[in-house]
Amino acid sequence: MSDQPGQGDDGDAGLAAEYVLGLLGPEERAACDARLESDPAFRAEVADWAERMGSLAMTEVASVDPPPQLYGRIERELFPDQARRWWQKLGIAPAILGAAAAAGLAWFAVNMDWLTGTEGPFTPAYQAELAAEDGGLLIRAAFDPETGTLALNREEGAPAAGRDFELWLIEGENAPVSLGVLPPTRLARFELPEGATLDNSVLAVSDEPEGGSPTGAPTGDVLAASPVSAL
Amino acid sequence: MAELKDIEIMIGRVALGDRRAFADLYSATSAKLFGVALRVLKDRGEAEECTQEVFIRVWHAASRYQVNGLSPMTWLITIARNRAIDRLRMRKTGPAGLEEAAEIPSAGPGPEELALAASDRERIVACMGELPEDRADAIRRVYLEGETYKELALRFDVPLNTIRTWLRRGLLKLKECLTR
Repeated sequence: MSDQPGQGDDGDAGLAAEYVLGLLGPEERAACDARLESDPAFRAEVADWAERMGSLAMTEVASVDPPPQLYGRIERELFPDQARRWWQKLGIAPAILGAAAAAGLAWFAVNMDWLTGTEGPFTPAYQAELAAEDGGLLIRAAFDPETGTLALNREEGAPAAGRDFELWLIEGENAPVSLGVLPPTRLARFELPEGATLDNSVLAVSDEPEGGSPTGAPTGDVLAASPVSAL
Repeated sequence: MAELKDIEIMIGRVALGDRRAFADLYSATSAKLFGVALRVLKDRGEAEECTQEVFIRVWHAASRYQVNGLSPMTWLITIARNRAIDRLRMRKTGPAGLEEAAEIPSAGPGPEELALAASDRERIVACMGELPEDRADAIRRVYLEGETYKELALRFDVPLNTIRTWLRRGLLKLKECLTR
């Protein structure tokens, strides 16, 4: 820029505004950075401009809810060590409490709608992890006895062309009962047959012809099975 | 929206490594910050990545918030806006780096500054309205679209060697109105 940079008849106000707005070239910005260290008046001027522009954003920029899974991504990046229950990865946030929840609950409810098909919280009390030994299939399941919803998250694996994965419930010593064929989506929801319980039960997935087992019992390979554990 | 004071408390807890407070802070502020990112980037995917980067930065930088003296939303918005503008400029020209400017330093104001910020918010509408239309437009374009002096000169048909004075005049008028 060919006009006089830095202090003009406006004192530092113009320069501070340009600094906040990111209009300065690298040299001028570096000079401002140095002044910020040593010059409280300039610091105050910059902070004032930040507040003014922040007010502009507060006033003129509409809030938009981010997609529900975003929090999970942030959490995974920041806290990879943290043992997370898998349904949180579906985008269900950790417990959100207090007055701050108002904004969060809207998308919470949206996700719940998907999981339960009805309004109301999804509160898993059982879970199972169905993993093939070769790592080619990983399905996590969680069950909420209140709503009767069994939610599945197929993290790894897909059936071969012309084949389907079928989900089975084996209660105690009983014969496997089909809960249905897994849809092509990653997330799926199943309902348990009337009177079925997950106590002392096993969930299993078998490889079946398209549309599921023609006999009502598993006909193909059992790819993975897991006892259901209470949480 | 939580009260500013609540947000300040959450940031203080986040500075101590409180993950629950971080989740609360996210719930209370992510819609505004995502809105800012979306407004600047005009692309949901990029705005999501930007918001993710912003919250990661907030987690790491929260301990510095306490000494920088800005109102909590201004601090968060500044980080989000600068990150988004950086991405926008990178999209246009390759890495340029406004990142350092995210470190808005301490002005040392007391709590009364927080109260002032709320009334500023109401006045800013009036004061932006008092500016000549092209200046108000230019300020928005710089702040929310990351436009440079060169782009402003072209857009508003002002010679490049006077665009800086032209914009500064608008900025100073805005300041004068807001501090009136």
